[in-house]
Amino acid sequence: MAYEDQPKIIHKLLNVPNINHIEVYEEHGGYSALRKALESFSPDDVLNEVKTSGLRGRGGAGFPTGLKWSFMPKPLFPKYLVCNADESEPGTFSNRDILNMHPHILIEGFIISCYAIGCTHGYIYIRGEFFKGFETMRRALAEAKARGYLGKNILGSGFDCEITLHTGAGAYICGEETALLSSLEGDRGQPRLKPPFPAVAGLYAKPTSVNNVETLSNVPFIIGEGAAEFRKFGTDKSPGMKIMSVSGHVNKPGNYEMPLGTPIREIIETAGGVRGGKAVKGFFPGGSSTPMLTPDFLDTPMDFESITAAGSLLGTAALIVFDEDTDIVQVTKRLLQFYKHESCGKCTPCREGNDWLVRVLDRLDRSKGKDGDADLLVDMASQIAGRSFCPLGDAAATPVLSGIKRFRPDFESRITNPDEAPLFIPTEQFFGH
Amino acid sequence: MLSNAAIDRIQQLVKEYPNTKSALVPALYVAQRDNGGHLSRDSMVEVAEELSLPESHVFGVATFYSMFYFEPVGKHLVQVCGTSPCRLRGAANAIDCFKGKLGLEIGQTSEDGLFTLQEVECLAACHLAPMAQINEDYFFHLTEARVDEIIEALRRGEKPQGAEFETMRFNAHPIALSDEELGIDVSHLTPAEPVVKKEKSAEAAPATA
Repeated sequence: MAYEDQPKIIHKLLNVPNINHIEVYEEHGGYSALRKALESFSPDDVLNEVKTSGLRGRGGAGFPTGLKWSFMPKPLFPKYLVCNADESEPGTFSNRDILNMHPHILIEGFIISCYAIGCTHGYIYIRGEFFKGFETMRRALAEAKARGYLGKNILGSGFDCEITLHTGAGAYICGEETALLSSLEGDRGQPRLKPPFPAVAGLYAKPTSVNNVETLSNVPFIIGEGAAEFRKFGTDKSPGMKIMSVSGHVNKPGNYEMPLGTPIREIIETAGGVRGGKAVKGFFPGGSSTPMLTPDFLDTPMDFESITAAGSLLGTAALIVFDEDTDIVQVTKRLLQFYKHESCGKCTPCREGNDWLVRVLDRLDRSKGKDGDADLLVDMASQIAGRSFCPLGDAAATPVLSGIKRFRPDFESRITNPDEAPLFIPTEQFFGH
Repeated sequence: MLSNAAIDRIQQLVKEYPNTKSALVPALYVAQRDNGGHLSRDSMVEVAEELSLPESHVFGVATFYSMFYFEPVGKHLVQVCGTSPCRLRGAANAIDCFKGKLGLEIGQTSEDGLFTLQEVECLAACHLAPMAQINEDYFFHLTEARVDEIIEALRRGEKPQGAEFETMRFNAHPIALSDEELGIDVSHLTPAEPVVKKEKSAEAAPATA
């Protein structure tokens, strides 16, 4: 079946003209799931339906959404729901389409989720660069409020809910949930120690659930059609659909909503196959923070368990594909420049380590590598991974560790001029940055 | 000095949060817009006064984020994505095209104050690479011809074809603009039909504020 004809959940209405307008969204059945929840479901019914659906967080970690909600202590108020729309993982661009084109599905999912957890004021944290998405969401929220889906006594049900749009200002780290909360509280966007987890002490030290855009956008389907319908897609442990963001050397890069468990080869074929008929050299399965894999893993099903078994992570299901002519050293170096730039500076391994990794990768990129540089990189990256305050350090070490594990000859071929690059960088240079 | 309109907008934003500190980043966007595209020391001090926050806290937060600028930037801020997914699809070439067309190196502002060129990190549009954000708009599939067309339009003071917004915002974040300025008008909408509760579960609805 052609991709266009396959069933979809979030993307079902994505290309309907003017679906960002509430009248069009309602014509296509929009807000009927919210109506159904308020008419026939108690908050616990909604929570149980989401638990039954097996929906897992779409932001990278894959934690079961219903379980996450159930960790919030019931008798404490206020509680907060915060939507993480700080999409910044290299290779990931699925939330942007929802914010730009299909805002009401997120708003409907958000309100239903607030009803389930007892939140009366939620926040949507949109990355600063998404001017278009922010404005589209703002217009959509005003529409939803005018129709009575937001505000006091929603549709006469007695349930109150407000949503405030908040914005980042250019910081990848704010995609980490505790850093996001720091940023939302008006502090520098640096991560906090866990525990306490946000479910216990999150935003303003109150019970908080932080959920991804795509996670919440699945909720109207789960309530409207039922958890059993949702479970018809995907695998037993990874139910539902996932928007796969395919980028790199493919003919038709883009967002493809497909069932979890679809083999990677099929996803690449849906994205038009590799450009110029070339062979795949490797790929990131779930964004730049997930370990690179080789073509041996092309038949791996794209779901949480299978990708983990293959030695990587599903992450955001952002497939970055490189063809046979790709220079892994350059890919890795530019990614490490990204992580170096985005390190928040809170902990030393990440702040200093990424800078050192970039220096060594840079000399390899200039073919001025020194004997033992590959091992040196592995040594340094291993001291960042698992020793940093938050997952950004692990993420930064990942392209280096997996790149050298899978594509070591690419790195070693650059060790051509052992005398020119000193292993220890002169102190004046060290303090000069 | 912050304009009265800017102070009004900051006070509107403060109402969205249970404490004023949360309104800091939004307020900085308002101040940056009010100050012509970058934050001066004075404008940050005024934000601190407006929100009753220590100046040190405001400086610390402002300098943490990459979208606040502390020196004047060009009227058109050209930010080309250079992260690996874009690199795989020709970002290096796109950066060279902008450098050549504008006669600028990365980080420079043109003498006429029209353009600043920056290389930035992933903007979450890797499928449309190579791409750039110029002020409020994303531009995609950047070839030499496309870069020429975009820059020429901006030099004429026009929005380039394919821009996301119709009007020139000069990099003002929408959070800095009021509903009226954004043209958000929902007066044509009327409240939807109320729901009819079907009592099914004994569970009470959550307590409301």
